[in-house]
Amino acid sequence: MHFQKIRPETILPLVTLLLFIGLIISLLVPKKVIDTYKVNITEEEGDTEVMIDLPAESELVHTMNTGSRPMLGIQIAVSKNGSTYTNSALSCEVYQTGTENLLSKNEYSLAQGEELQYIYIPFAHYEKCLGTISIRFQYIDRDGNTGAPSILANGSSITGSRTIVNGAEYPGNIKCMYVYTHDTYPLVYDLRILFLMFLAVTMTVSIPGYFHKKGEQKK
Amino acid sequence: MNHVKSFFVKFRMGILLFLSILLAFMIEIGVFQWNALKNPTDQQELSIAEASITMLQTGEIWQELTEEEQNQIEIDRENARLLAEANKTDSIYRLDEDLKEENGRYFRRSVQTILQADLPDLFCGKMTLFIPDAVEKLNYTLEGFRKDIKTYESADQVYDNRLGADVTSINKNIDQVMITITGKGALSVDSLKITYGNQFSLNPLRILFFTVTFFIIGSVFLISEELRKRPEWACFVSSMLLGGLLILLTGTNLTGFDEHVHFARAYAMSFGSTIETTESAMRMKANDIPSFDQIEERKLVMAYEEYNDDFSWADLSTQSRFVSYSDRSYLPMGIFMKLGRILNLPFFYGMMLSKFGNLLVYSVLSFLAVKMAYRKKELVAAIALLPNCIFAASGFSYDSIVNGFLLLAVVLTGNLFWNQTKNQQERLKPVIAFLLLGAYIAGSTAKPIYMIMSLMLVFLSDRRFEQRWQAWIFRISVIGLIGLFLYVIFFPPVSVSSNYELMGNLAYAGDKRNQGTSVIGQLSFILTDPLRYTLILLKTMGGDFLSYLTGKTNFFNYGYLGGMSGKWVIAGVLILILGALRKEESKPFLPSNYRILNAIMIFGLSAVIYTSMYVSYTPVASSVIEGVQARYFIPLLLPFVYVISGKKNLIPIKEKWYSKIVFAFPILANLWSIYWLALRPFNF
Repeated sequence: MHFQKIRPETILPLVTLLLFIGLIISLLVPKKVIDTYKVNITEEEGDTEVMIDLPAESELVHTMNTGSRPMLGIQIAVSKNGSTYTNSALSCEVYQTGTENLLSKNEYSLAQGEELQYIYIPFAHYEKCLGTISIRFQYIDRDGNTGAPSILANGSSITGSRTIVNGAEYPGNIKCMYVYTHDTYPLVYDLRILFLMFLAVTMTVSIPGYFHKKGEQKK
Repeated sequence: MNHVKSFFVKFRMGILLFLSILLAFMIEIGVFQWNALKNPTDQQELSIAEASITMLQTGEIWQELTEEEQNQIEIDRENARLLAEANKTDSIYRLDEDLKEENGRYFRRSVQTILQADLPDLFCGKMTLFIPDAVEKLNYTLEGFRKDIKTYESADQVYDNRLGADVTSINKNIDQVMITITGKGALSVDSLKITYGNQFSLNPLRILFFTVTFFIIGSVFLISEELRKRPEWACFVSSMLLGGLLILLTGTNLTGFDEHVHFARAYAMSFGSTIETTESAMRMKANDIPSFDQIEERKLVMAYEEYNDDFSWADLSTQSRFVSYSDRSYLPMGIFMKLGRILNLPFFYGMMLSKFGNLLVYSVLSFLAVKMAYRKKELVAAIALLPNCIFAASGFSYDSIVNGFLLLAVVLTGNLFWNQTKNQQERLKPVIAFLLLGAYIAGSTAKPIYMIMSLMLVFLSDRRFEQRWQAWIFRISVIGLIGLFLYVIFFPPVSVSSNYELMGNLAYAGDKRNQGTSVIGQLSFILTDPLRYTLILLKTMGGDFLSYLTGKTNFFNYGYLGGMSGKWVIAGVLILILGALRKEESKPFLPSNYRILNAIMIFGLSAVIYTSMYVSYTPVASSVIEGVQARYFIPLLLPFVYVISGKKNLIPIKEKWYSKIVFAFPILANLWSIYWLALRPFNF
């Protein structure tokens, strides 16, 4: 096609239409992104980090309220306490508080990761993990280790959340980040603006054919 | 005789340049090096080790923090409380252990050492302090005495241990010096030494400044005809020369209130998905890069930055490849920063190149605005060359994009209304509509509130369009665009990967650089007592308008560096009014309905700007509106000129003189500012 043949009367409405279609598609196909909240990471004055040991058969339960959004997973700080693991894991079960319905069950293999690090445990059926939930952590020893991992905590309080160790209320909370997800529409902003801009520019060209009514055209 | 004349006419610019260089050298030698020629002194060295410096006393003191530091602690404390409240955690703000609070004021524990040295009674040009054992930044003052009478006292100086030396200009005869050094921790001064002297040393930056000064002023008078015929080129060249000079003189000194924040965004923009932040860039981002206030220190800063610009131990972080709408104004800076790395330029020059990219884009936009202006080209050029505009274009700032694109947009809008008078048949061309809307959109991306200015397009006559329904769809589209931009102010498209709920939560919205702000709280105050707020708004707007017009506020300033006196401002305002009231021959006047609409737009947009600052930046229920700066009204200057442009030629000044005056004012204002605010404080 010769460049000279590209006429504004043709190209502008076409671009406007394409932008409109792109806008509709972008609205229909959102991009899911991770949305992390550092709820208890730093210590206030006088507070210190504490390692809560998690030997086999013991449990640590963290209760919290996700509000109206399902929770995608949680990040907690885990120390291997110098032990080497091959098959052992940290189990993470999510229950609906009150009803004790199991909503999600997942494991984090202790063979991976550093000696002490924040690990991410996704919830298997995250869309169910909504409202007041209890997240139960247990150590599953499959290596016959004498040691056990610990979960990092401190004395900070988190409104609406508590940590229970082996049935007893812990005077503080685990150090953690709550991970949610939300939909974003990264192209919508630009496409909306470009669409309106091109629509306005299109109005400055002669729209051919049936849009014209007799006598309406100005001299 | 004619040959001689034609020779001078043909080569006048070359001759002017030669004379400018000659004059600059003469001034450098005859004025600035005069003392070195008259009282030459060899470099002297004194040290504690050789007992030529003695320690008078040392001890612990509690030093009151500066107002800025005091304010910052209060803001940090308030922000920590808000963050804890949002995260539903308890917050106790922890004061640094070296700080104490007493009667609402903060003090820092410091160690002070006072030293004294007797010198031969000589003229002391510059004195350099070396404290090799210093492990932190130190504050110090120098006092010079002659025959027990104090002849010199320095302002508070900062000894940056990363540079290894600090230079002070004394330029006095002294026979004794007293040095008071204050640091946070224990101070080791055993290896302290000072050097001083008064030697002939040409300052290339000073010579360059005077060369540009003479050349640019000479050009205004020598080529006045070309200036009148091609003002766009005069504007472009002046903008590049003045801005370039400013960039060269400021180097990597951060000269804007939040320039480090803009730098951080431009730096990120210069990378793809992986950002490699070197130590030098990290220091720039943290507003902690060593700065220079003497030409000798400039070299030390360059060496520090070059040594620490090592990518082998750079900090790595990631970002989305998708350029967020709010960062697009940083593209010119980012691209030129990348170019600097490709060219393997030292950090210092790479940063200057990045600023140069900003300046180039601004100068091109100004060129287009002046070239496309149907009327008042000189005035458009004068606005483009105002000191605030040149300053913004020569630093890390998005203001240049805002000012440049909006200037172009206002010019194109004005053209349509002028041409409406001239030729009522003429249709709005697609390319003009594209440029016009593109300029409004690009200029408002960083500050969406300015999109309101495009409301003027809604009042274009139906005759501009082929069909009436086309005119209406055009208007609806423009209104839709304005609506979208205003929506973004309250609900920005968040694509962050953390704290989404918090970012989009109006309950915590408010500028966290100021205490006591709350968008919801302020809106509810306004809605509860609208009459009271209207009075606050009108009183503040009226007061500010008068203070801008009468020069009480530094309207034409160089941001954080300072501004000119009120006389300059009054002169500037008078020239704008002169330009507005002078009617160009054989050109139509602006229709009065457009002028009225412009006045309404200026008032409305100003009220929105004030209200937005009241809502986001001012503590709830305050009786004054805080945070509104004169620079916010730069895009409204040309519309203001349009408002007061009348039918009659009230200023019958000849065109060639008018061009000279209008061009000379911003050029002289910039040169004055560059000399006093960038050359003298940083490069003498």
